[in-house]
Amino acid sequence: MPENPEQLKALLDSFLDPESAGKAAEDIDRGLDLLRTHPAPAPHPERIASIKRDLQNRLAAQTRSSRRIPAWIGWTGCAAALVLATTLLTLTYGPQFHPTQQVTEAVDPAQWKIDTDPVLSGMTKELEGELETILTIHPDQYNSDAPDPIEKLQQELKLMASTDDFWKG
Amino acid sequence: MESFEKQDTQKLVSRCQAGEHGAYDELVDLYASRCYGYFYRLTRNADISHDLLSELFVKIVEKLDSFKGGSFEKWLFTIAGNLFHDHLRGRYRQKKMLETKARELQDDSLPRRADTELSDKLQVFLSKLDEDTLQVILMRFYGDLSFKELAEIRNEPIGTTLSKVHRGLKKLRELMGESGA
Repeated sequence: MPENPEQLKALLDSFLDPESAGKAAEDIDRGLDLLRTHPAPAPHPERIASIKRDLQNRLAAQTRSSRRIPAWIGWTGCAAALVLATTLLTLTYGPQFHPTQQVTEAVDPAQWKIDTDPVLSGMTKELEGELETILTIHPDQYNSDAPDPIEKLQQELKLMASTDDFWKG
Repeated sequence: MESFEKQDTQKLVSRCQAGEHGAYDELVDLYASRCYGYFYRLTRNADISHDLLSELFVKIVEKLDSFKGGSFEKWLFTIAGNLFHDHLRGRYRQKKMLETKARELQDDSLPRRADTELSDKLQVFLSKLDEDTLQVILMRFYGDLSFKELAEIRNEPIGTTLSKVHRGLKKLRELMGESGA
């Protein structure tokens, strides 16, 4: 809201001496009168109608898009609920996973027989022979009935502690 | 009466903000002539002024939610001023303006229609003012803004705005007086 003449004079007084302020107020007033008495042409009515149509189209589009957002959210929610329900049903009532059974079924048991493969059966026999040799040389090491080495050591220590002449040989 | 009009404007703006589509038509009716006059006096071109007017109302639709009260005219003419600056930056439009100005100067000696003679004379003299001074004078006149509001929009001391408007209008008076209008 522009200043009234008194307010304008007071404003100019704060920058100019009273005489100059009076002249400045007159210059401003008369200068704006020139614009008032020589108005600019008016906008073309067709262009104004076009602007109004454009605005209404934009406003309608804005309204449509703002309505579309909840629908979009709704559809996304439905899709998410469907996926969740399917997952839960599958986990609860769906076929259980048995890896052993599946592997056993997947491989033919006949393939596990070493006898059918001459190379494998030869290597097996060779390994069994080697094991027999080792057991002959170190029977205690691979015999489960032999005393535990720690137990054996404990017994020796007990013997050393109880017998004074043990160390003399 | 003036404060009643201001209240009416506030109500109209509130109706627009509330999403009442018809209120925008009323806003166009209320401000189209003033804003067009502002653009026309700045650009001296009817087509460009119509384009800028159209852009201005599109901006209003887009930004009206950001208007938080106060002087609507100040808000509106700040956007209008920014649009004019954007327009000046456009090379094509600058070229178009220069062509228009050149045509105006060439046609200055040709006889004019009686009903537009004075208005056109004013337009010629307005174009003799520097762009910045012209803009602040037109904003004062078409925006119906106080010097305080103008200084705030322009981000300058009120004394600077006051001095610019005074010097510009004084020069315009002298030019019009010399021409015998």
